[in-house]
Amino acid sequence: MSKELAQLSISELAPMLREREVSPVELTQSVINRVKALDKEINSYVEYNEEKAVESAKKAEREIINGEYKGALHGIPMALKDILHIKGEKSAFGSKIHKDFISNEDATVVSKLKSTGVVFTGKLNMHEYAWGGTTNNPHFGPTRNPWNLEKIPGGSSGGSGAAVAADLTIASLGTDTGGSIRMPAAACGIVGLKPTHGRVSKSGCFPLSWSLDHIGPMTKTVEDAAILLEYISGYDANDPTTVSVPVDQYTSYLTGDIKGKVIGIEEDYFFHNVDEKIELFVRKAIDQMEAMGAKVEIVKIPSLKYAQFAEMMTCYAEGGTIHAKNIRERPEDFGEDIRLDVKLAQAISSTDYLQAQQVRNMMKREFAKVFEKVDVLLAPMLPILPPDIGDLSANNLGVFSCPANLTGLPAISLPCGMSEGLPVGLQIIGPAFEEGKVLNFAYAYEKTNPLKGMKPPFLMELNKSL
Amino acid sequence: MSEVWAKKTISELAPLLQKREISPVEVTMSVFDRVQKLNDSINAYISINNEEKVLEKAKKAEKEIVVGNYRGPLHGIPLALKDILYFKGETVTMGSKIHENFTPDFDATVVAKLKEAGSLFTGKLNMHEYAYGGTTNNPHFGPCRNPWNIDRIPGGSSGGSGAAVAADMTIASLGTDTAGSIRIPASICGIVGLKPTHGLVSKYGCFPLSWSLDHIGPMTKTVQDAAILLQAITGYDEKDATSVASSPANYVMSLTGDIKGKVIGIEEDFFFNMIDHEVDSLVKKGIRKLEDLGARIQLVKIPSLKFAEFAEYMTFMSESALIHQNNFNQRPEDFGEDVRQSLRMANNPTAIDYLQAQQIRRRLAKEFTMMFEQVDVLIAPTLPVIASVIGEESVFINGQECSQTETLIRLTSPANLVGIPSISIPAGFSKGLPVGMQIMGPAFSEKLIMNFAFAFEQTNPLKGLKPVIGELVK
Amino acid sequence: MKSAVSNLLISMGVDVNEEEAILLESRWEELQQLKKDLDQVIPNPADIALRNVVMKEK
Repeated sequence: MSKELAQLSISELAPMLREREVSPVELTQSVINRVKALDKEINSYVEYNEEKAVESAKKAEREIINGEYKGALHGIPMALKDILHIKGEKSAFGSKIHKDFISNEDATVVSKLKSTGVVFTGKLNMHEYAWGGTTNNPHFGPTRNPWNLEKIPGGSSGGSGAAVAADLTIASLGTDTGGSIRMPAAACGIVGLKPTHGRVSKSGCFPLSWSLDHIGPMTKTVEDAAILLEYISGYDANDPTTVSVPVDQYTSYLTGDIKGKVIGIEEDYFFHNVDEKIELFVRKAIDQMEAMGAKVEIVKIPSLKYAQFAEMMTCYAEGGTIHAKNIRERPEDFGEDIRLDVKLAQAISSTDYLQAQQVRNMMKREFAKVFEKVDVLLAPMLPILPPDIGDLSANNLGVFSCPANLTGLPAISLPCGMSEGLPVGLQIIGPAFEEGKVLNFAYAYEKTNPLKGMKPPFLMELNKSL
Repeated sequence: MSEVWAKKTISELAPLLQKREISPVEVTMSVFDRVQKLNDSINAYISINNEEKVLEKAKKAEKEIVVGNYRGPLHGIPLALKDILYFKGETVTMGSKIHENFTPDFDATVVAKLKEAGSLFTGKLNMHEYAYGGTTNNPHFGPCRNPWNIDRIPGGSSGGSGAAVAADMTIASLGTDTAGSIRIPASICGIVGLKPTHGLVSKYGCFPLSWSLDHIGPMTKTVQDAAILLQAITGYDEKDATSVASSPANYVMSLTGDIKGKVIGIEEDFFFNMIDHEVDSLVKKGIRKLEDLGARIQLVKIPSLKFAEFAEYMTFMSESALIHQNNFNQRPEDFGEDVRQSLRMANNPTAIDYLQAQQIRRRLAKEFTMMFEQVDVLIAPTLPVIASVIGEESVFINGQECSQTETLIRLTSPANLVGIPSISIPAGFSKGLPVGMQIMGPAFSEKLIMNFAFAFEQTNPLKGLKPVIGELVK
Repeated sequence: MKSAVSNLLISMGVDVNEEEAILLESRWEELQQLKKDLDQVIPNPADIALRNVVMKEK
């Protein structure tokens, strides 16, 4: 086999598993072996359990042999961000306070994945309580970017980003409150999708900010993201923010045809203060899509001027409410970087919070108007290349991410080039509940193979020794 | 003689108008008559419309009816609304100095609906400044007075509506209710006041006090009139983002008076705590009357009610602070003193206070929902007290001194917090002043609670008495 | 001498040491800067669409 099993995608593995060419057990073992060999350097897992994973893989194998094939995810090994409750297992949420917390219920998305035959390999590192974008975790150690171990993998779903990029998991789920799926996807050169608010149930997911939080897939390919989205979406009575919009067959949208579609470009906000190289790659991607037959239109979204105000006030206020008790009773148990933020959050006035909601309302209307004229909006994902671990000056990483959280619109990040040895991410934002359209644009662009099949160099070295 | 029409209800006047036995002109003149006679004593009207102009419109309505173009029970009926609802091209003050010359360029949705239904408007009614209080002791337009005793408050913030309906200075009215501002004046003035389900009536074109607590609703002489008005003003409105779609309902038809077999919930720890003895006994008497009509009682518990006050204050203080923020920063002296004080509140709520209040509301809503699986309606006093003297800051309940505002809104706020409908109806008199009883039901149960109210109304709790004002006698 | 925001936090029962006070003050200032001129942008006080999902829609 030229490629290790662990290096394949869901859509490559599914037919092999279904046809019994490959066993879930060998696949799982392949993943676990990589974790054992490589994760010392990357630190993407907080915990993995080889025995349990193999047992679960054996169960999947039995089921497939008995003809009970459940679908594309059956027998696929996955590790999820340690923010989702898995019944009977420890979930620390990246914190010290919850270090020994044992969940007594599965999150809705976990139970959906379990019932479809996913094999869980372990839990992935995250920024403490999801409250930050570096995954430089003081309690579990920093996760490192597989492309350059001195750099951050992004966050807060940094463990998921790094693990998918380094083939330490076939795919993952992350959460996104101000970019926490899409920023690590950009930093680690993978695909990360934040669906529409209310598309995926958040029941059983530890919250950061209720009205901004989203759960979504982090994968090697766009098709994998579409597959995962099909399985995790849907109305859930346990999460009153979910909606009864029917779940699409997202994979069926992936034609790669974007002829005649209109791409919107907003320049005052999304192209302001961006690293030159990043802008270059994003513009090149836009050119490539024009070459595929799409048209470009410049649009204006004035309320974006206050996007960061609205994001900060909302996230601080809602997050601050969740941690209000602990920050008073045991502040020293919070990591230093988030401790100050959680304290600051306690002082936010209700009028600032409400004013932020007014901004969001305006922004939703402006985006809705824009989407009357264009199909999707394209933009950079990060303003700069991933900084060094420990570099405290990088605090504006979420500037281009937050509009999609504030408005609840679906947004995806996928690679569009390499600069200084680090991946560059392209963001595609679409209208509410039109994940299919967003995924198809991403799919069309992905076919141009922007990373030219490159993988993190240090892994190439280590692969040889495996 | 012309006073006769002003004293009638919508449901009495409508058939007469439809059959052309009387004209909208006579009815309107009758109302204006009473307004001229009484407004100096009661001060229910902030602005009285030009009588000639209104009579012109009345003539138009008459013509329409004569040619067979009868629009419905509100056609040709003169109304006056709380001065918080926008009328295109007319001055709408919100009872304030800051907006004393404000002229909106569009009609509120409910105003448009009433105009469409053929209503006429005699003027705009007094209110507590910006709806921010329960006494309608308005420093810019003068205090509104209780028709039953003009030294006493009419309640608020829709005090003008309460007083005008009670004194037959308008056939009916609309008020707004954020912590009780429809039901408090209804209770105090001895009329019917309905706060519908949140989102049932569009708030587009209504100046807000607190977005998530505000409701618009009818204030009328009878339950049937409330049903007629409600029918006319409900409906999904995309211009109001809090508006909900509801299936069309015929509220008037559901007033059968039959409540046999229905279950009345009584919650005692909150709703019957710290209540004036006479009020308590009147309301309990009222409940017993409903038992006589075939309903039965069940005790219930709603534990989160002990946080209701906190949730109400945090929510409306926060939301109203933002609404008035600019004006309060730029021209605080133009607010009346009590409103200015409220806005200045020493401890500005934090966002976390506000969000914790929302968490309480969700818990409370769940508890109410579970409770309504056991019982059909919840009945309680509307207020713990009767009308206080104008200018008093505190009230006495069974000898104990309490804050006026807290006392007024205490029992009415829960229905605002969870958005369920509540109707206040007269239950009797204490010391010559009306006492109100409120009937609450699950979301969208207006038919049910109005039917209960109707059944009780048939027992004639006020014994047909009307307020005696000045030299005018019943 | 602690700043207004530090004093506010202390009055709420949140500990703030000298070092934190300095950082808090500067972060607070940054936040306040984010809303410069916002008052001119939001026209109508009734325009918020604050959905309190208190009732389930029919």
